[in-house]
Amino acid sequence: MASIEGVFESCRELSSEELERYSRQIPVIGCEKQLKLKESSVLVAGVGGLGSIILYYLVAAGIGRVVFIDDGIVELSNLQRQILFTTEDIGKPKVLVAENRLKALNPHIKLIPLQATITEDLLEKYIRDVDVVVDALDNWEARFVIDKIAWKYWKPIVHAGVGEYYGQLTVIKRGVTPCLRCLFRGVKSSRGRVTVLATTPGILGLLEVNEVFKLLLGLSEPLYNKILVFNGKKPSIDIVEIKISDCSEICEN
Amino acid sequence: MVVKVRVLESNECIELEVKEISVREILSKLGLTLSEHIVLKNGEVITEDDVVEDGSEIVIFTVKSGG
Repeated sequence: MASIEGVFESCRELSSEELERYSRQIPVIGCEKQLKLKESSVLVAGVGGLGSIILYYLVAAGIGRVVFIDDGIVELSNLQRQILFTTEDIGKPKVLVAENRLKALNPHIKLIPLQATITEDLLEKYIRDVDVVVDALDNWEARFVIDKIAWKYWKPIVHAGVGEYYGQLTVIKRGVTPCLRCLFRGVKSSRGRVTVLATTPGILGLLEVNEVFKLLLGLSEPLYNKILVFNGKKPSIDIVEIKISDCSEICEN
Repeated sequence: MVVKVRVLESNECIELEVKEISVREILSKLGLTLSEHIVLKNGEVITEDDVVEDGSEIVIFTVKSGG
C-alpha cells in the first residue's frame, strides 16, 4: 500500500491548495479518482431541499463542473431544510444565491446556474455535455422531461423523491434499467404543498451524491434495478429489487 | 388460496384469502392511494388494473414526489 506522502506526490495535476482542500479524501479514493471528480460534470435539476444538499457536497468534494436549474426564488418556508439559503436571501433567485454560496465554498468549481423552468429545449442544450443528471425536482411532470432527454443521450439519472418522513432513491440508465416513466408509471405529484421533516431531503440528497460518486468513480454497482426506500420514523432502509419485463413502448417514446 | 402482501411503510405482512384480486382492490382494502404507491408482484411493477393470483407475493411501498 502506498504511503500518504506517496499518494500526494503523484497528484501533480492538482494545485497545492487543492491538495490541502481534499487532503482527507485523496487518501481514501486516490489521486486518480480525485482528478476524475475534477474532470466530471454533473447537472442538478432543482435547487430545493434535495438540491441544496446535493450541490453543497458535489462542490465541496471537487466535481469540476456543475450545472444547476431552478426557476424559484427563496421563500421563508424554504429555510427549514434548504441549507444553501439564509433569511437575508428571501426574495432572491435561488440559483444566484446558490452560486454565490458555492463559489465561496469552493472557487475551483465551474458553476453554471440556470434560472429557468425545466423544458426539453433547455435540457437538450445541457444534458449532452454532462456525465450524470441528478433529479432533485419536486414533481413527476418535470422528472419525466429530464428522463426523456437523459434517455435520449444515454446519461444516467440519480433519482430521489421525498415527503414527510419518507423517500425513495434509484439510478436509471438506458441499457441497464427501465426509464423513470416506466418504473413510476401510475404515480402522481402530491396535491398542494409538500410537507417534509427537515432531515428527510438531507438524508436522501446525500444518498444521491453517494450514487453520483459511485457512477463517476466506479466504486461499486449503483442502485440499478433497485429502489432504496427510506422511512425516517423508524428509521429503516429497505432495498427492493425490481424486475421489468418490457418497458420499450414507454421508454422509447 | 392466499396472496401475501408486505407493506414496507408499516412493516406489515398481510395474507389475503382470495383466488385473485386487482391492485386497485388491494390498495383500497389497505386504505392506500394508488398515486403514491408502487406495487410489485414477484419483483415486477404492476398497475391498478393488473390482477394478482393466489400464491403471488406482493410488496407495496410509498413513493414521494417532493424535492
